[in-house]
Amino acid sequence: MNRRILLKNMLKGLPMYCVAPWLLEACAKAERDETLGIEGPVCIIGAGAAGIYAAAYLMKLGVDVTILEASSLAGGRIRSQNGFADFPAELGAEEIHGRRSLLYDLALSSAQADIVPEVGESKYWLNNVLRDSYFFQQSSALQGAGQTLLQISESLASYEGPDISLQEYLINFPIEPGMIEIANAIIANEYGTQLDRIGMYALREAEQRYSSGIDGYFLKNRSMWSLFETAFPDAIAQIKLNEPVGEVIVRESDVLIKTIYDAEYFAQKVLITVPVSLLQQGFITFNPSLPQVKLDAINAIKMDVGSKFILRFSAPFWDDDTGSILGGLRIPEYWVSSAGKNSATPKLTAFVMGDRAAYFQGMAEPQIKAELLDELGLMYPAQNPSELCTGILVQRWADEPFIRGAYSYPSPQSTGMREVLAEPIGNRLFFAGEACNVNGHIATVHGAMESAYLACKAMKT
Amino acid sequence: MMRLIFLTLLSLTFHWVNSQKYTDLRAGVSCLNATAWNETIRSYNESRFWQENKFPELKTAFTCGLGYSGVAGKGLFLSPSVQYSKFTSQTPTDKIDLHWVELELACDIFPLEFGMDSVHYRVRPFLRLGYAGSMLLTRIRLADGNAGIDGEPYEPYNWPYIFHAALGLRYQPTSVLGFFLLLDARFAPNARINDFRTALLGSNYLNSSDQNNVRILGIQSGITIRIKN
Repeated sequence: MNRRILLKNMLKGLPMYCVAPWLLEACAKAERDETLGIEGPVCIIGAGAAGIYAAAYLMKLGVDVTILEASSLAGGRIRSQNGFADFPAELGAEEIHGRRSLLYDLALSSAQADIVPEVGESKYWLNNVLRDSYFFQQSSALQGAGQTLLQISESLASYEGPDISLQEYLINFPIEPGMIEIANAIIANEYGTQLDRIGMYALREAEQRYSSGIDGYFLKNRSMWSLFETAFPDAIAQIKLNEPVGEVIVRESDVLIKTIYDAEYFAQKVLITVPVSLLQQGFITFNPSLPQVKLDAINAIKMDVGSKFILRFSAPFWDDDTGSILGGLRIPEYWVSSAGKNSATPKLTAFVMGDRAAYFQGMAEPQIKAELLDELGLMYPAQNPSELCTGILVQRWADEPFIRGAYSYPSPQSTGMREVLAEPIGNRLFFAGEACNVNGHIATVHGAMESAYLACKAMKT
Repeated sequence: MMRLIFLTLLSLTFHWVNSQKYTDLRAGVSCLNATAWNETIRSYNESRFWQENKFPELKTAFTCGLGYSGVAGKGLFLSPSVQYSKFTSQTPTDKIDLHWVELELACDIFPLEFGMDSVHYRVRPFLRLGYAGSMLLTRIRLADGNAGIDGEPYEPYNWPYIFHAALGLRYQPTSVLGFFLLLDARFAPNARINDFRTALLGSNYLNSSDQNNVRILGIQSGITIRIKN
């Protein structure tokens, strides 16, 4: 074979030389370096759901991790309290939102038998009368109003109009004030604020992106925090309590983290999982200071005052089928927190956000109890709840010095800001937590976990 | 769907016009390269790192097919066929199945120097070029039941189209029975599984996309049987 023929034959095969590697890739076995170059140590600020999840994830990859927690207790907004009830009383997050979530899967792995679906029906405090859904079906006027509210709720994800508040949007519809209170309970209070503080664009963004499922679950006889304790004991062992970080100094070769008590820690990367309220209030200073776009994002995402009051009773005074009571003027939502649990003593949790929660700030516990029982007495005049009440547990999240609020909500002008908040800075500073969630899973535990996962992925160089 | 109807009609047309007819039955294995779908699976495994059982990536499939070919010119055959592949990723409790049914119209090109009926006992190479309409059915079964979105069962079906090129060897020991080996490459541009990320991860943002260019490399062997007129 002479050179010309050889060359000709080689040229004939040229297309195959180009295509073959591309095709053979289909059968290539994926070889993945698990650590993917994460340089440790990594310092995580905040021992809530995001911090613990991130620590466990990084430790699984062999990264050296330290968690600095400002308070004397770990858990952040998934803390619980034993002793008040015959089950752990959830002081913060209580519900697992949807089955397709990290939290549900975590519960499935370690506490499958304890997962119970939401039980009971909603009752509505409407025009000073407690109604059930059957009444809505019987009254044509209320049925129409209920349908309108349902349609509004379902159409939030496709809202097209100016970026007004949810309250301004709702007044365009023929809904009586009582129904507005119910809208406040099921939308705004649920999002951690009140109707006039929710921006329609940010709400639309959250509703469009939310994808973990509409069904809700609770844990029967254990706390949400116990899921993390069971699943991630090694990460929890890395927590250093009472170490409130006051300053983060990014240097050329590492990051210096200083607590307000002058303790120093060094890390290659820092994951900040503290509530956005602490960043807004400048609890942690950054050197060099954060970019202006990051500061704008921090200030655009709002966190309102929020509280949970758990009332213990000697006997239930509500109907057996009651799941929640919506539309109260003092407390937008009560739910039967002992429902579905192996509990001998019935309990109601009062869940209040925004100005109505601020009303209870600084109020003494007996007075809070009296206010709540007064409202419950109006709802159940024949049962006299005051005589049945045997105690109250008060959790005011705005009073927590290292949390300072409930959770982030879809505030006006916050559209697209969560992506900015979650954006790492210079491969040194990373941000996670429910406020950083870009999936529409804001204000949820699994949203905090997802944001931590994305932050850890971003650490991989 | 329109593609499938079109290809079916076209295949029926060729059924009537040719005079040399063969049917073939084949089976083999296929390797899948679907970057985005496997990234979703990796994200699932990584984000649920505490779970011992990990989903393997969607890689290999059992493939089988039934074809028909008729001469359309000298050394040129038109071959409509139907093919089924099942790609599976499975843990002891969870399972992802991709059922992929293709209806293809291919053109088999044999070197011109061989006459069709004079090839007994000869191994003949051929080139197959095809285009397929397909139906992709995805099913996800997780430990707590079938995956669902907002209370609705997750049963997506999609209609990707596929370009197909293959190199084959055919051995025809008798005028009736033959054997063949096929090394084939398939390319499905922008193949999509609706809400795959949502169904598996519960999130659309933990990885990139439900849609990707899918490459499939396979090897199949089978028999051909000549249908006498």
